[in-house]
Amino acid sequence: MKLTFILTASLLGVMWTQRPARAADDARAFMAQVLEKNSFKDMQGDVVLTLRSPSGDTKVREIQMWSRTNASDENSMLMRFVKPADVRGTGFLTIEHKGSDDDRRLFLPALRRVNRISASGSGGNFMSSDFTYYDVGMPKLADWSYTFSGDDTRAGVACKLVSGTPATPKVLADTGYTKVVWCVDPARKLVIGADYYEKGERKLKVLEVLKVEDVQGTPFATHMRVQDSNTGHQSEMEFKNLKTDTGIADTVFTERNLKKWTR
Amino acid sequence: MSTCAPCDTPEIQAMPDCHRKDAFRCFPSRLGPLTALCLLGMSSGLRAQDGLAPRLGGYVKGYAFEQAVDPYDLQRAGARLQLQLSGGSGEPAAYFGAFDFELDSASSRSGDPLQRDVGFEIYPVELYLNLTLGPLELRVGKQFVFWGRTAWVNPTDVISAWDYAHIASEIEDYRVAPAALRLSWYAIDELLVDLVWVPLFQPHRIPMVVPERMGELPVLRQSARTPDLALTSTELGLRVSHAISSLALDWALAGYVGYDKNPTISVAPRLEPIVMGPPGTPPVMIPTALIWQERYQRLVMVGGDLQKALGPFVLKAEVALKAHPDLDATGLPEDPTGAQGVIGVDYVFSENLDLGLQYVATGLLGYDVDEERTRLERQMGRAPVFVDEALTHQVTARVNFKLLPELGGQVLALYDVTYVDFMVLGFVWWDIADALKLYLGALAFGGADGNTPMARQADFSQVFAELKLSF
Repeated sequence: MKLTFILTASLLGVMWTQRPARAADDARAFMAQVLEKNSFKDMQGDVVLTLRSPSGDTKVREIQMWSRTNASDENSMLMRFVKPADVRGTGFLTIEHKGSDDDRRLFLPALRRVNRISASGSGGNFMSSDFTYYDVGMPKLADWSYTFSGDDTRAGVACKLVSGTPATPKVLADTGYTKVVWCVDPARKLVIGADYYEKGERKLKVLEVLKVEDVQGTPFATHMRVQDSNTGHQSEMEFKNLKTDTGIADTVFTERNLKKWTR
Repeated sequence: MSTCAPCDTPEIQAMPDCHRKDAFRCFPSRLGPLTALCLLGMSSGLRAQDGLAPRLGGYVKGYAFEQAVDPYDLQRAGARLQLQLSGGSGEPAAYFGAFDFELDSASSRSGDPLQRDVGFEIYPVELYLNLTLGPLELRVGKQFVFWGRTAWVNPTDVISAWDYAHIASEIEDYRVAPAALRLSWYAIDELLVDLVWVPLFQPHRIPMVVPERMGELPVLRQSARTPDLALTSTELGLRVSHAISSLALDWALAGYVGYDKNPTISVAPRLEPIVMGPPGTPPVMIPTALIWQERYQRLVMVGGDLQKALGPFVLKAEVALKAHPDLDATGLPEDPTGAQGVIGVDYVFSENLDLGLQYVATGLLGYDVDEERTRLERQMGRAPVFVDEALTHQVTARVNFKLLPELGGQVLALYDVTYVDFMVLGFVWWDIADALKLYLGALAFGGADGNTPMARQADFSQVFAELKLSF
């Protein structure tokens, strides 16, 4: 009896210490289903970015975008700016390389030159919006450590809250986020909202998914809004004319194509 | 000497005879609108063809440039409409044309050789046809060709001339697109071979006032000796460049045979026989004037550049060797061979601030300062006020900053350590609304000694304002 008690207590103790690790594994596995559910290898479409200041000023940017993931799970992305007119033709090419710095190049039609730009840091604001380059790119499961942090309801949809903290100092440096809390629709395995924190527990911005469409059988957030919690500035990103798995050629992600701004 | 960085001009510079009305920038006034109309007509006719339908874009802007030193002349004031017509899906053909319709009304100092034509002008900035066949592209027409990776000082960038007289915010203000034929071969894995042929010579436009007198003698300026219009007088360039994505590295090798776009000035006395005695006395040849002659020497350039992204830094380097062989058998003295190298680094502090620094070294091989001083003294009849050094050092700095999402600016500074002179170009921009931008800026030259290359441009220091609407 006494031995049974000791064994049971020991087992319970071991189970108790293992509980957070298992919970973290569960959260990671859950997020893996969310982040890796997209089966398409390439995508192209138009992005409309609307910036709204607290005073009501609105600016609209339109971008053409092509992206592709190769067999090594490396992403390539080409963005070409369509509006406003003063940045039309500006192109941004990024080619990810595992184990080395990303290849990033910027074409400025006003200067007729391609410049190589710094590969480090995805925390910069994308087109002066409240989305960062990291937000716009493909999220990476390995960048974060996950735990479940409760339940919530966003836009009438019940969701599970998953907290993520940077898995490495590089992710913290690159993103600037000390914590992200995703609100995930468990039925569709889709992020429908998120809270981003910086410098400890200070809320930086809030993401809302405004529209979800079916893209090749997969629910895809095609309209999102981010609001800066400190300034009240809002940015909306809307994807249009999405096409997936069209077999985007290697030649799309080259400097030659990057410079083709007159088309 | 001709291997100098921008604005590092020979002791005595001169404007080419044709300022606006040259073969390229100064499209003959009647042909300008005619070509624009033809392009519009062609584009209309092609509209029915898928992929060739034209897209119209461009900008309209008003500007004013005021001299920043006494007598504070309003140097330029006017408005420009640039129309850009482009069409074609790239395979097999595409076209692009940019025309400036400019109304420029400005006062200037009397006798100012930089006085722009007052009135209305139409001229092409670029106008070319692009033919594509797989990995080959042929671009024919007036087009910018820019080589090199470093900022502002590019030793290998020898094809498109500079317009130092009108440095402002648009590329067409400070560079001139030559008429060229460019064959590009996009070989494997982002390796590019570029062959450029320029049939018509276009020199740099360099602001300088020819002195009326040097010492006791008047200066008589002769027409510049430009290369003959002949096949043997054309320019040819070859560049091989490679972007290695996995290493975030670009490299290039370049070679060029053509002409130095900086003029070489010779000042020689005009000798006339003067009888200084009773009739029958043999005349004595006495200088009665100085003949000012500009000419453009042959240039052979070999060089290369490198660019590597390394974390938050982008490292850049560029180097070129430039020689002036007498390929045209003129028998005239040629400038010494020179070499120029640039190394630099760009660093991004944040999305609101980035910095670029460069060091430039320029050297003349087989050149002796004392010999040059003696030669100039013999030529001009007096001690020269400036003689090029055999080795010069410069540093450049570029700062891009953003104070607000809609407000930012840039400062570019070039400081010559050897001559202790400088050039600074700075401007702020304000995004008033989408595609509507206001620029306020200034361009300043100066130096410890008013006779050094940048210091003597001090009169061309200016402040400017531009309001631009893109469409």
